[in-house]
Amino acid sequence: MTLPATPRILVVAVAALLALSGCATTTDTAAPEATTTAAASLTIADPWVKSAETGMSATFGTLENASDTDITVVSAESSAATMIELHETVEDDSGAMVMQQIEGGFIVPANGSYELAPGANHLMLMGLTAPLVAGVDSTFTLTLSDGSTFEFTAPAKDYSGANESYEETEK
Amino acid sequence: MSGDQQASAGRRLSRRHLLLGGASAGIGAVGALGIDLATKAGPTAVAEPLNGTQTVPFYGVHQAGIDTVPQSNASLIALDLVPGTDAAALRRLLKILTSDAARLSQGEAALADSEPELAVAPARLTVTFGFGPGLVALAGGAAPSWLRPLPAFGIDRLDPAWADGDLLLQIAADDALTVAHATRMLLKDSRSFSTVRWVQTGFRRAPGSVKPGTTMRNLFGQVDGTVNFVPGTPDFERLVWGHAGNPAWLHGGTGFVLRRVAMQLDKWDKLDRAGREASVGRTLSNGAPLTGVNETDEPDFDAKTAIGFPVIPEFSHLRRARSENPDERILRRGYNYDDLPTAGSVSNSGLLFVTFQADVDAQFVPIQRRLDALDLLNEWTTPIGSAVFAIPPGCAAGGYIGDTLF
Amino acid sequence: MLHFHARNRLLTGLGALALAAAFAIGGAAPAASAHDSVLATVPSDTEHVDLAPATVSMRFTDDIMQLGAVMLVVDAAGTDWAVGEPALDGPTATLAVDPALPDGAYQVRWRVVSADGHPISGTFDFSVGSGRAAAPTTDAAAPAFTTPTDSSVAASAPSPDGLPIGVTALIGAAVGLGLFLGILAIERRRAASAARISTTTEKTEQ
Repeated sequence: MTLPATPRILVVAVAALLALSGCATTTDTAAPEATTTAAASLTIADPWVKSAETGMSATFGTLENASDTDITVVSAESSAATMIELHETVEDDSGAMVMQQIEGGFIVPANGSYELAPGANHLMLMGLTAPLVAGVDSTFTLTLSDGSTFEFTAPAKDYSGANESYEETEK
Repeated sequence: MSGDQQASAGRRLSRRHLLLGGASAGIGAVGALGIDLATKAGPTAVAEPLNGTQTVPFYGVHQAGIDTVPQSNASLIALDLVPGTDAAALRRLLKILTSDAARLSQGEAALADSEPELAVAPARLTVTFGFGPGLVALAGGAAPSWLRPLPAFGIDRLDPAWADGDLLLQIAADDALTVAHATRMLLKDSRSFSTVRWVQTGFRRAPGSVKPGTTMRNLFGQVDGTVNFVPGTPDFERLVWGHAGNPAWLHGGTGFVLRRVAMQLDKWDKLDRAGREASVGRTLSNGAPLTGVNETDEPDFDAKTAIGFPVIPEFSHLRRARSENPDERILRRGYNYDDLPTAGSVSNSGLLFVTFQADVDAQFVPIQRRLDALDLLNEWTTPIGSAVFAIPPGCAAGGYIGDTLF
Repeated sequence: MLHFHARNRLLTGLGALALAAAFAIGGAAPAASAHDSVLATVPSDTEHVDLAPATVSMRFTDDIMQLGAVMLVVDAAGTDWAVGEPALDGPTATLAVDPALPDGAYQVRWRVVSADGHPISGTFDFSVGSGRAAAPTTDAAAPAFTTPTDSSVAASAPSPDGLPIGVTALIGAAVGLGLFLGILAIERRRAASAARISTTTEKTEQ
């Protein structure tokens, strides 16, 4: 396979994406040291965003922690949306599963993973800044409890599910 | 597996033969695994990989699904890009589909796969992409001169429902459920960009039913595809992967033709065995030319009957398909189809005649012209669909199919 | 080519006429095999004719395909005296013979594709000339020949099979009589029509 001589931004973007997803779980960073940030031990496998023309959407993937210490994701931002919340699935008083902002952030256990999936925990995108059409890549920045940040890129995919109802928790 | 362990010794022996056969067919890592197991296998060894766990590499210089030993099931799908699709959207589509194909072929669920459990048995899944003239133009690429509908042939009774298209997906695996899931995933991810123009599904023998390397049989019962290129040979490199006069973006790719050939089984029923053999010029029992004993014997077109007529009739399919020009050859990778009968009939069957060749005009068309002019087999076969696509090269990890075009 | 086509049409006409005459009596021969078989030929098998025929004709039990038909008129030396390809019309095939056909023994070797797509082939013999050269059997005149055979790619009986020999003989006799009458008619007709076509054909009358 010979790539075109001229570098292409998209190719690079896809390469970065694949490096983050796919085999990313096997490309861990070096053994954590005392000075290592939480972000250095965090990866995300198979990130993707549900495509949407306007309004709200959600981002999914599996956060993986290669360190011996729990990592807490406290917030997320992206140019794709004016606001992003960390949502969890909970059962409301009537027994229905609803989504609401999680208290205390996503806690990725030491040497473990934390799944963001349709019908479960996810990054809630509100106020899309542009249509998220299938195949468009968006970049997200997660801020961790130690103040370090972790960036990843996720493609939008058409997905008919993930239409869960949301608990009104907006303040 | 316990059931397998109880299998008879004879069955295990044939399984090991299967592994060795796979290795000799040169299917890379899978073949190597076969050798490994076969050499380690003592008389009581039972380590037998499941068909479903076998994979074909996705990334590479060439797309998979061309020099891949044909899988048992295939779905050939043509998509039409929706009006208003631009080059940027096309690129997004190709990236998504590449990701889906790459993952599914390795037994990984696609991103946003709603049925990830169906992805765990890739069964040598390959997804091969082809570009129609409309797609190439949209991308702003130069089309090879042959990328257009084939010339009209006298024998054609083409139904537009089986013709042409912008984007071809050839989805093939040794498991119909795997093909169905991959098809579902790819079409789900295509629907923002395109509509389904046609779907043609086909099949061969299931894996393990006959010895690996056995030439397929069509629904006439004929051995079909005896003379074919062998991957890795100079012929394959030149006549399938060769650059011919193709534009640079297509180097590493090739040309694709699908002819949907209806086979009139009811009419064929009226023909006795000798007549059937004469129509093709090969025996039904093992596909040997009528002048030979074994399938791969070279036909002797000069051999005469006692009263001086060619043993292989000059109007037979074998004789007519054969060219004096060694460049007029193609890679055949066809599948049988057996669809719902139309009203008043009991069969709607035929062949998805799939061929790969570097230059459709120079290699495929002359053969078809000869068969159009004279081929006794035309009495029982009718081309009802026809499509030509350019097969772009493969891509490296991080790239996407078609990235050379943009 | 136009000339050739005109000639073919004429040949077909002649063949049909001859065969029609032959079947006036012999047409009762049943078709015993699934695909086509030979009902009659002109000349008939092993027949001796005094004058070289302008054509040889065959009639099959069903229409034959407009594809793959070959007829040869071969002498003992292996020379083919056929002119062009046989003209096909429904169940009949008619072949022009070189007008210079010398006296002697000949074998017609034929192969056609029957209506069901089955190629069938075979031979029949005839001889030409004044008594001395005309052996009643081709074996005598041309040892290289066999009696009507049905070798062939696709073994098939060119003559009605499954009939008792006696019945076959009777049919043969009837066909022979029919042919005799038919040929008389043909000769007259040919003399008349040949004059309209070409000098080449006329030569055969000499």
